[in-house]
Amino acid sequence: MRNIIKNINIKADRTLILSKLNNNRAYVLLVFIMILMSICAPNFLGTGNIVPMIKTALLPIMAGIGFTYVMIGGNFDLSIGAVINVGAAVAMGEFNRFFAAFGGEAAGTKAVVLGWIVAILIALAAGVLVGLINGLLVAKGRIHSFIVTIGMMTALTGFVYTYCKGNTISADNTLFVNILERPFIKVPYLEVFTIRFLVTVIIVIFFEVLLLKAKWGRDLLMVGSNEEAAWHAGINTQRKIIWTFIFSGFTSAFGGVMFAISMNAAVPNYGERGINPLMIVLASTIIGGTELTGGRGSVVHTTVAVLTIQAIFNGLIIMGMGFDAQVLAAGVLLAVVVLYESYSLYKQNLKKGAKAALLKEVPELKARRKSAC
Amino acid sequence: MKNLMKINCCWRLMDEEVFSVEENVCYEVNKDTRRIKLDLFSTIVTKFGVFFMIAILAVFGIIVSPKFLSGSNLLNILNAVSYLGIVATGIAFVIYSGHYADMSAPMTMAISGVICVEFMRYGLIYGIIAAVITGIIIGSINGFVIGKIRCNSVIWTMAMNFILEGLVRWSYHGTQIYPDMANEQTYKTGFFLPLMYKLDPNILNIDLEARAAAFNGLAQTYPLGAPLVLYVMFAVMIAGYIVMSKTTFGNQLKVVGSNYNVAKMSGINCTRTVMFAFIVSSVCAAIGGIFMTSLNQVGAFYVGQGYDFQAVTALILGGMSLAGGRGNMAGVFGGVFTLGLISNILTLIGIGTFTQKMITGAIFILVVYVNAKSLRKLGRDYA
Amino acid sequence: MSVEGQKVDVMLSMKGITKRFPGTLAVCNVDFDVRAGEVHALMGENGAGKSTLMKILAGSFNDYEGEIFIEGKPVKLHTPSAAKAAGVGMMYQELSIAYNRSVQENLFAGAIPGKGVFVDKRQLREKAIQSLARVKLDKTIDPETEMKNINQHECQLIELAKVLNSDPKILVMDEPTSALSNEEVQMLFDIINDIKKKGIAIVYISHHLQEVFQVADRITVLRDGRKIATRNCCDVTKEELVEMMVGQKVKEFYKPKVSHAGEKILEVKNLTRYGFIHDVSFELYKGEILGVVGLAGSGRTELGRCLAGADKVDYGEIILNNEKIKIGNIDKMLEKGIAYLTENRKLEGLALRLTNRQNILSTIIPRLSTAGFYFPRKGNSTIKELYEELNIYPNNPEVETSNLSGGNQQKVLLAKWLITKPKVLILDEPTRGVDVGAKKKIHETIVKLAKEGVAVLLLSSDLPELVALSDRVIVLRRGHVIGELNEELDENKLLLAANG
Repeated sequence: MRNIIKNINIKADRTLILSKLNNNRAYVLLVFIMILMSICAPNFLGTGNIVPMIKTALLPIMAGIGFTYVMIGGNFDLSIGAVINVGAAVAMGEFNRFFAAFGGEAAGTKAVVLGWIVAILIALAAGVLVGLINGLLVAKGRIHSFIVTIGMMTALTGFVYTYCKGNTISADNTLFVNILERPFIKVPYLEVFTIRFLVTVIIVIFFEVLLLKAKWGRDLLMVGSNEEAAWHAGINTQRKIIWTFIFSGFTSAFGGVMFAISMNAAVPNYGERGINPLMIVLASTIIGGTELTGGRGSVVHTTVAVLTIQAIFNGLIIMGMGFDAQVLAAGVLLAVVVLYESYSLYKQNLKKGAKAALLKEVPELKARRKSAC
Repeated sequence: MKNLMKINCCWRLMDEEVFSVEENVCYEVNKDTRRIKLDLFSTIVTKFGVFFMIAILAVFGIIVSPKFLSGSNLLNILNAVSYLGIVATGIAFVIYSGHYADMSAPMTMAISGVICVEFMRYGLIYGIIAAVITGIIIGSINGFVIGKIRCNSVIWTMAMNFILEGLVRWSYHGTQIYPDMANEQTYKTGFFLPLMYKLDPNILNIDLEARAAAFNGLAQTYPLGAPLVLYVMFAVMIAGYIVMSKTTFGNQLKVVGSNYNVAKMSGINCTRTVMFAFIVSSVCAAIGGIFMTSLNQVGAFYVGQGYDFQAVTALILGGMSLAGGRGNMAGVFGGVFTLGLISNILTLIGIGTFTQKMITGAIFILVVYVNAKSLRKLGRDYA
Repeated sequence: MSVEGQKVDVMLSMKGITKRFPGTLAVCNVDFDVRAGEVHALMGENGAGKSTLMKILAGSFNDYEGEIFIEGKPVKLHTPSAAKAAGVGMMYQELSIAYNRSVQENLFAGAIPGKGVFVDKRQLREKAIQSLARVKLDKTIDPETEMKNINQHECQLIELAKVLNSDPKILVMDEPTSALSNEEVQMLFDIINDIKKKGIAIVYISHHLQEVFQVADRITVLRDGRKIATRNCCDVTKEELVEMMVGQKVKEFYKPKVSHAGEKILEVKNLTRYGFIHDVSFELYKGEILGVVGLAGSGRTELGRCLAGADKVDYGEIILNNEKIKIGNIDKMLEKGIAYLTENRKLEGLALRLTNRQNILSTIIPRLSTAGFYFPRKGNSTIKELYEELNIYPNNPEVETSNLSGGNQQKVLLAKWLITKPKVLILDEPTRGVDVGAKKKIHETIVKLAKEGVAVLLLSSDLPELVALSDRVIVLRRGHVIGELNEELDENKLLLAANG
């Protein structure tokens, strides 16, 4: 039986290869950019560049996980930028509060550890709560996610500014900061292995497995692809959508927490004057092949796409171009990918419904027309 | 008799999927038919929408502070939202056409402001024309890609926003442009400044100060005691009203917004119509950008930041629906005014800007939720 | 529950089912039962309540009245999962297929086989192949193919396979043949017979009398939400059935034929859109109604769309009033006088959220404008005339179109195109899914138009309609015109010609 089916499948024509390439375009693009940059930018592949590059990518990678999930469910989450700030600020602020409550410097390491645990839990809970509210409003309230998350973004931005009182918050004790950012081994390239890196990798793998290998994820993909079909199949679609938003809140907040701890600073407006993390995440989710209407996507592909964008950024820096060029490059890349997606869909729609039997006649028709002319 | 007709219109054979009914009518067609419970609150919410909200806020404002009703305070409210009003009027056309939002508005504002500052060297009017042309070009690109190739409007306009941001930052190397700066260094960066310098090095010697004063004066002029930008907002809104409801384009846009495929099959040139909507949006953003730049007295990429979200907030509050084809200019004004009112009342109470933002966001979510729920109670769907 | 003393076990029995919607009573006190191993056809006009009754069975509503028994046990079907657990399998009219997932995932949506929380890929594949075997597709389709690469009739069968996966006791098929060609229908019927033998009770909803007589054992007719009768298939004739469905003796509407002595209005030469229609040529005369017969997929709709300028034409000529015209967009063709009434009212015909006036005027907005300003009042008198002419109910153009019945919506759709004063009117399924009264009115209007000199191109799958209205009929098969019938039209002839 299997052989028969394989034989049918062997029709390895050009379109199949192209579509395979397109499905894995995140990798293709990454390799292409890596090669291009290592030619154009000196020392691009050096450890002094690669390690910081990956470190910078960790935050958008975390936020990208949740964003991919939400998009697979067929929604948008524009509030991730704000949730990152909330996670960062709350973790820092609560640490300072609990550090003092647990006895401050006098109590030593114990107060630090306890303080961080409580603070991180509170920050993550805040992210989950935001996601839950978003999810409830979208799934149960049946309001468009675009509107809900815009409102949420406004509210959270206000909240963060109020929380920080407009200032940068730093932790009163830097013990943990060093642990998160301390590499396990001081070997070129392997320096990248820090706790923060490992935690991110574990979370990426967890969510990728949940999405593609677990039954839960398959059901979610079904919901994103055709909500009604999923509902008829007995899948609780609303709950799935709510979970996607919760994941989004969770991963964004977690990313924000780790970012703030490693920087030992939480600002209320990260990305407002620089490169907005929402932009990087949005671009990489789409470049990674997540379908805009939902139903297809992969966390790992998004992650690879984040690395691609980060590679472009770093390459441009080496080539002596600033922030400005990075924004432009990311914008153009996003635009090209979106255009490509829409254009191929547009082309496909033009031919949609054509009968295969009739298409076979086309060359003959064309030949006849030519001879008539 | 009229009542009977109304009843009749609601009697329809089962068509399986849509069960929308006209509000405010009892259904006594068939003995077995269930009566829809009339929900007073829902009816008020859907009927008066944002003006119901303005009324509540006004009552609240009067209670909170005696200063609230004073003329200068009301003028303050209007003045504060007039920039937003101009931009929102433009974006209203995009939402009306069923395309969610024009997220490229902030950078359109920024880039037109910058272009205006560049060209105002030849005279203010040239600056304004150049800025508006910039808006038209950006709008055309957006409109073509979205109207013709059917790109996802939010994603595309976001991408456009990034590209424009990159362009502004890149050509200025991250610096800003001040209207009254005229040294040689200024002419080394920018979109057209180097070209201008190359064409005519004498440009260094023009009387820039007077022109800069004229430009900066745009936001500082107070004809008849009210700021110029307020008049401009009303002018833009009235023009918007006329275009939206009285012109061929506006009426075609309504059909396009209600159902794109139907409009296409009805012989409406959808690509052109959608393009128009985006051009209107970008031109309004450009006008807003000129005033914003004049107010800040500096052209930079961050002018207009946040205006996309604020405009969408105002428009949704004002009764526009993401589904398209719904809403009107009165609602746009109402939505913008509501945002102004909220902020004003909160200021009167003594709440800081950041907390205000938080409260505004919460109110927005609440209003959208109540509105959606009311519509559903009355048997309509909300998108 | 026995016929001729023979004992049969009743698989499903629904007693006193009632379901209301705001404004209507969709199903009223209906009793319905199906035996194991039986195909029970459920028939009725559009809006008779068939689909609602079956949606109740599928658990789509939680507020129906009445009792449902499955194998004699009372069940409450308030959610799709409850219905599924009770053994109801539903094949929907609109396919519930996720197009960007693979065949196997679609087959096992919501019930993916796994080890613990993980997906068991091997088992999934094997089960999918077994499942496809049940609908005889295991040799032609790889379970990992994406759904969007599968063609329409296979989708239908996969949908069936998906329903069969849950081992239903009762299988509901809602219009399963609407998109299938004749051979494909036969294939489906073979499969239905297989399923029947396994003792599954099948409810078959269809409009096609012939199909029903071919496949069903018993027939229940609904009308206006009430049950009219249940009969054995062999005890009832087509005419009786139609009478039960329609409720009144319908006098067939015949139009006296005109010979095309009039002047030639439209000539189409070698119209071609690659993959859809190839080298289609015909002529259309003033005051003539030219029918086009063809099965689904024969290029009937595509012909209409190409003529109207909705789709790109690869080559071909259209000569209107002896003048060769450029095939442009819809607006250009509309200016020239070619109007096309779409077959899909909801997706392409009417914007349901607009009022009737806005819908009707949407085609002539530029004509009612001067210098860019739009004066809808100029259209008032014409709208009034059209309302009287078509008898649209309620008689108020300010009503939102969604509030109208299907028949009246269709009249509004017709009015929308009549207001453009076309020279050539292309009607694609002008009476699909409308009630008898509206159908009659629409037919009268079409004939009247023809008398006034409009050339009508009638694309329809409703054979009696084609027979009644057309002066000539051209036959389309697989994108080609294969002939023309012009005298003594009857349904059998048309059907034979179309099937070839």
